[in-house]
Amino acid sequence: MATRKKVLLKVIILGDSSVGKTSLMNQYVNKKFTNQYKATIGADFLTKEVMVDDRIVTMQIWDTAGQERFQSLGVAFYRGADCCVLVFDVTSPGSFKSLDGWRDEFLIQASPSDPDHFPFVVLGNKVDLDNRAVSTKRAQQWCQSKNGLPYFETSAKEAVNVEQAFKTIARNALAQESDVELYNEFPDQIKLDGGSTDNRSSGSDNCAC
Amino acid sequence: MNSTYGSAESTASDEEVGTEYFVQQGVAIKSLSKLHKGSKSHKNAETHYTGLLRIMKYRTAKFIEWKPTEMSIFPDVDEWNIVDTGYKQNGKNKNDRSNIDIKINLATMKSYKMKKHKKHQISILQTNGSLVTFLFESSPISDFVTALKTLLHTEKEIRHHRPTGVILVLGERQDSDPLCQSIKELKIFPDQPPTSTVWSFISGFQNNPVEKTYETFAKISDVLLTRTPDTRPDQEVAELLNRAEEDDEYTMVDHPPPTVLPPRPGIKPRGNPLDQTTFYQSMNDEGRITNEDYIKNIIFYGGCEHSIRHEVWKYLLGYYPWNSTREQRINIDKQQKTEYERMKVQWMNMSSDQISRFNMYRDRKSLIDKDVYRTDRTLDFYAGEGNENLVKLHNVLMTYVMYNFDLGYVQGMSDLLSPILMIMNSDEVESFWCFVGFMNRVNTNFELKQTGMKKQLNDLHYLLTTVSPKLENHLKKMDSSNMYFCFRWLLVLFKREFIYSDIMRLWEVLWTDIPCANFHLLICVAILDNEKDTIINENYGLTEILKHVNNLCEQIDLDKALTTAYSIYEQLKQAQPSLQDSVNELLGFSISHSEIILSSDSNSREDDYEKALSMNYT
Repeated sequence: MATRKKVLLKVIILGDSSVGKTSLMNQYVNKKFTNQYKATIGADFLTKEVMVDDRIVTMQIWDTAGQERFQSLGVAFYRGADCCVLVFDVTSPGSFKSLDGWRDEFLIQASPSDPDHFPFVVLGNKVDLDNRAVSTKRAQQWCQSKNGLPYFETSAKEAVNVEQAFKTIARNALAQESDVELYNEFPDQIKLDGGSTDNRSSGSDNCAC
Repeated sequence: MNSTYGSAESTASDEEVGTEYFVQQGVAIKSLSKLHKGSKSHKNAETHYTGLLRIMKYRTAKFIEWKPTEMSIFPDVDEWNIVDTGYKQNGKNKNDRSNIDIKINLATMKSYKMKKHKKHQISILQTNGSLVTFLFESSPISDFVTALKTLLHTEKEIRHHRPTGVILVLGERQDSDPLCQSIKELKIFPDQPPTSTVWSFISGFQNNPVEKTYETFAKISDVLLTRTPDTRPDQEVAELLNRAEEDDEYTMVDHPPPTVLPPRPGIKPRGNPLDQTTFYQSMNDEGRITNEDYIKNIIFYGGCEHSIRHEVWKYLLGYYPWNSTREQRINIDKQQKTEYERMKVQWMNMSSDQISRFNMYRDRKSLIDKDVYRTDRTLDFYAGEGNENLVKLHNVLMTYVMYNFDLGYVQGMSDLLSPILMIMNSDEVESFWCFVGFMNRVNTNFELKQTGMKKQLNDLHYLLTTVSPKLENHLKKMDSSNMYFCFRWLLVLFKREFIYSDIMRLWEVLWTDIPCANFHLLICVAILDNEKDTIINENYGLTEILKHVNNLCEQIDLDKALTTAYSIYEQLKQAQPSLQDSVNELLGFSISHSEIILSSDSNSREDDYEKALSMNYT
């Protein structure tokens, strides 16, 4: 509790093409929505400073292209993620079925140290639309089967549940980060983990946004 | 057709079974011989077969052998020079192409050279002057080369104190050669033939040097502990390491120290766009464009006036041949309309019942449906609900799926089509065929395995290493030398980086292929070079570089980028003799030895460029 380093939380948003990854990120960070977003090519990120409990943290939220073949080249950016957000479109059963694949893809590419307890958060987006095809129950069941992942039903368009969802994302990501810091109390490990924390903090200092 | 070479050996070896020394599936061949040089058949020689490549050891000789396995692409029989390339046709029937195979006696190998042009390839020159090129689709070429090196004594060809990239074959190694022997002795991998150990180690070493070295040394130390070696394995391994490093003409990651380049020359400022009068005056009575190079050159320097883009783009994108007559063009219009309608009907007639059992089609359609509704919607042309142009965008993309089902639809394609549809005044047929022409230039960008993108990012890195070593050094330090931050630039050729009017101008400049087919990579280098001070002075890391590059969107001065890129081209051209072969190749500068294997395309591009230049400066 004595040292309060500036914390950077890296969050990766994954999910099929057109489920609303860019929209969710923009709604959360810039509080705006437009249906004129183009398909994301390559990767991009936005940052936002938020209070989690009594701490100020910077969230670096990564938006990626949804078509699978583009994943392999962008893996460098997955590394060191603190939380992964899996998004599907509640009107598209296919995008829901893909969640398993995205989860696996992330675990393989980012290879977090403790994959069983790595924080994922699941978002069922586009609840503002009428033609819903994936029930809340079905989504919840899937999340339960994966060690009880937090699940939110969101509308990036109407800003439904977006703030709440990202609050949980931030908190869970921070918990992940704190776990890492805990180990720092062992003297032998300070060098290793302290080094990486420093790098990432300085990254956020330089960030233009 | 007779086989002029190696007939005795091959007869002998037909009877003898021989042992497999090296086997590789999925290797294609391309064959050009001296006799073909300058003949028209060059153009079709790119067509290739895929097959099985082996190195076989027989009692009296060793052969590189190749047999086709996939017969999907057939070049015109006449385009294949069966006499001089060491082809042997077993079948009596000339049309029985499945019996074409190739045998090259290692004893008749004169030299070889590896290249990376779209694919990894190795061209083997024989003492009789014939040349065979093997293309490695997905498998690493290094394994094959390593196998060759264990069988042959080789030496790098040096000219003007620099390696030319050609590897001269000095002779065959004897089986008693210490290298072959010691590997047999080692028996590190008991259940594999000893030779496969060598190249599995070496290819592993190239990919992951530290790990692979530990792994193999660990195995060696096992050997040392468990049995008394009668050879000195550590020396042999050291030799293997050296061999792995020798392949620097191929290694992609470690670039050689940069050459000091001359200062960038001043470049003629950008010119006026091609206007209607000049364009139509360049046609003769029949309507043929008599001076294609002149027209392209104007476009290179200034683009086209918007009013004639509708016509000019059809030439640039290969819908109309430059030398076509008015009458021929009317026929092309007719034929291509029929052809388009035929393919369009195919998907339009698909019933929902059929679609329900056609997963691959459904996936492609669903992606198109999603992307059409988010393509350039801020433009008036595509704005608003129920916009007819969205339907056309959809139709053309769906028809392209039927035209090229294997590639299908990949994100980014709608970006490439959007300006074309607009320029073609929403005409589906013309837009479709122009889009096909554009896709023919860039389709490797969209491949499933992303090999085209990886190659381009790697090529870009190569160029940057040469042009701006300081920036490259910084990128390396920041773990960014994979150049991923340029992914969007390359995938859709800057479509997202420039405003609409600029992108049209940029694309038409690129479609001229002046001064070379990879000019877009030089534009990347020019833009990055312009940002170099910011990136280095601000000490940007991986994420900051990506953010900075993404934020350049609609901030780049196109004229400046084009002028700088051309100036860099001229600068490199002056330094050409001291440049790496790979750089020369990327920029279409001819390389001494390999004249015979340069594709006709790069030759003609070079010619075009020379002509264009002379027109400009006289």
